[in-house]
Amino acid sequence: MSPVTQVPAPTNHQDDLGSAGGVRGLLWLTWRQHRWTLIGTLVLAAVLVGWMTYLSMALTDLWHQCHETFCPEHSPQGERLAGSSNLVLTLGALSRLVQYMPLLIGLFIGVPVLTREHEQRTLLLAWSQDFSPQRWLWTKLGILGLFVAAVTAAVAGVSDHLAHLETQVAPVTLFDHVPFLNTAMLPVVISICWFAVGAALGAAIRRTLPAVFAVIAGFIGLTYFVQWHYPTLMKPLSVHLQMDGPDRGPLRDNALVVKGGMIDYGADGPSGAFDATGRQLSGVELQRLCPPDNDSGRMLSCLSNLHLQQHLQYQPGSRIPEFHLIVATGYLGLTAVALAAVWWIVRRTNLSAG
Amino acid sequence: MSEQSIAVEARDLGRRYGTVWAVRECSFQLPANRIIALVGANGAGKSTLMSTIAGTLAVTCGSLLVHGRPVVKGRSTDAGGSAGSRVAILAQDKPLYRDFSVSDMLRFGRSMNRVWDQRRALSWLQRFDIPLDRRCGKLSGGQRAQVALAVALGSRPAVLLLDEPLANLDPVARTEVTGELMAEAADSDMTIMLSTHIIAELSGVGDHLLLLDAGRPVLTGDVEELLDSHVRLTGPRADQPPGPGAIVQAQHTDRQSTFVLRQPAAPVAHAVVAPGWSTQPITLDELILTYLKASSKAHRDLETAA
Repeated sequence: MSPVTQVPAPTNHQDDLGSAGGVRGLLWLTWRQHRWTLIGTLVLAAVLVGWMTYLSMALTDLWHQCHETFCPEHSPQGERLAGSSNLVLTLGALSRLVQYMPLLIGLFIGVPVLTREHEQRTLLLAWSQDFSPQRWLWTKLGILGLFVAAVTAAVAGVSDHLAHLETQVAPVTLFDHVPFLNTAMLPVVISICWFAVGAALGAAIRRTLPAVFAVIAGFIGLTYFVQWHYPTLMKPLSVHLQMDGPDRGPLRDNALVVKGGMIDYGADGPSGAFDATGRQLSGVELQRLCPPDNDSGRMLSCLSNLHLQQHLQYQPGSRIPEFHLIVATGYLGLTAVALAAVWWIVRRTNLSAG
Repeated sequence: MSEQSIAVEARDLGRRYGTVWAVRECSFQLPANRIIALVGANGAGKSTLMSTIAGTLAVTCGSLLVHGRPVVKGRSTDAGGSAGSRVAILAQDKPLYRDFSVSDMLRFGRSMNRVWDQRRALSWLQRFDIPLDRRCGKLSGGQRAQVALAVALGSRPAVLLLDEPLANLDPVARTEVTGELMAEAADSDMTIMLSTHIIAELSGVGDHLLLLDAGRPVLTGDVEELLDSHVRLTGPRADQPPGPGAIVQAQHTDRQSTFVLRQPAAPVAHAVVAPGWSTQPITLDELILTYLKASSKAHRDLETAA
């Protein structure tokens, strides 16, 4: 039997839905149009959350096995945390995935909001109904934005927990670029930002593929810009530390070394070391005191035995929340610009039936 | 016409793309509850005019009223208009969401409109035997047109704008669609404006004509009245016709002259006005072609003079 004949009996002659045709209607339309993307995002987020939760449990176990401190290098636990172990490689891969999640959201959720309508020429259909173009736009962006915020908040929460556990079992700092971006509210803010930027670029370019390339280029460019600039968003602090000393001083709690801390082997020999009085040693003096050889361990112990110091500029770990706020504010500013651009483009878009 | 009986009113309307005017100096009143035939050659400005009436295209100058309410681009009837001024438009390419099923498209219409008549939309689809569970991307061009029409009709607009609605249909479907559209218009308080550049499509469909040429309206009025007020006079060669009326077109051979006249009032019968002259009624096709040729000649004369 043809489905035409299976139509349920119509109810009222005129079905005035009132508010049913409002946000609820657009909620259904948004789901119907983007359901596979939304399901894919949910699956990816669920995998990430599940996997990171599992790794969090593994790291907690290691922490307890290592008596709630760093695991010794040559212990079995230390081996599991060594640079090329499966655990560390998996942690790195998941961190990268969390870092690039905003890009995926921009590409698969942000860009198609308008490019799909332009490419299928359905914008006239959508905008000639009872929803005004602006209301259509903001309701859709609101629904998708809330979805993005909810999903990334779940991922960000687990990612933050995992990153903190990593600092308990291994000498890593939350101020490093990738952990910095993957903790606190930043994954949520950056995801919303790239969702908005994707929608804006889609609105401006009107074609999916070019808009996708534009989002990728923008994401890579901005990520490198942030990586390059964020250590100096506030004036760094300075400190003299004994070389290879047991006490890492202010660098203990998630500090970020901005400058110094390494002996610079320039053209005139090594430099960057200071004696106990704070006088900088020349390269010749340093070579005379600790002749270079192929064993870096011996050289470091030589420098340590002479109580030589290094000069460091650093950002203390206590500043992480402030840095998060500054970076988040920047991304939110970009979000506002992107949303303003979408509003302006939609307002100026003229559609002809021909 | 009273304000209630006017569906669309344009006052010195113009729309320009860059330096090119698509529509200009458009002033007209279109009656409500009628089927209006918007006729013009390709590029005459039909789609542009319809898009401005639908509020999806901004006007460059002038103003538009739909049932007395000004049309503002980008403002839906939901936000600022009443149900009586709701406008639906069906574009030439009959856009649908390709991955939606036909019933999804009906749900789209229900979700996006304050007023939705499911029975009307369904009965339209049933008339043309459109399967509800098939994806729109898998439908034929004619079936897609029927689905798009069902969505447009289901929203129960006061004014329904159909841009080349018969373009994708075979001759049988054309006849059926025009018949059903006329029935829909008769059963409801809906004004239908359909555009075409194929004059033959109009026979027996439109009861009001708006003829566009180069973006300007060159003829508008009730079809019957227009046909009654125009007459073709054929007789021996003469510079002027032997009867009253404005000359729309004059053609001369060595021995014969033919005039198409617009008479001040519709005569009861086309009487022979002078010896050797005969009068003939004019068909809609001939009327439209006559005005289009006359308008084209006027443009050429203007360009030559310039």
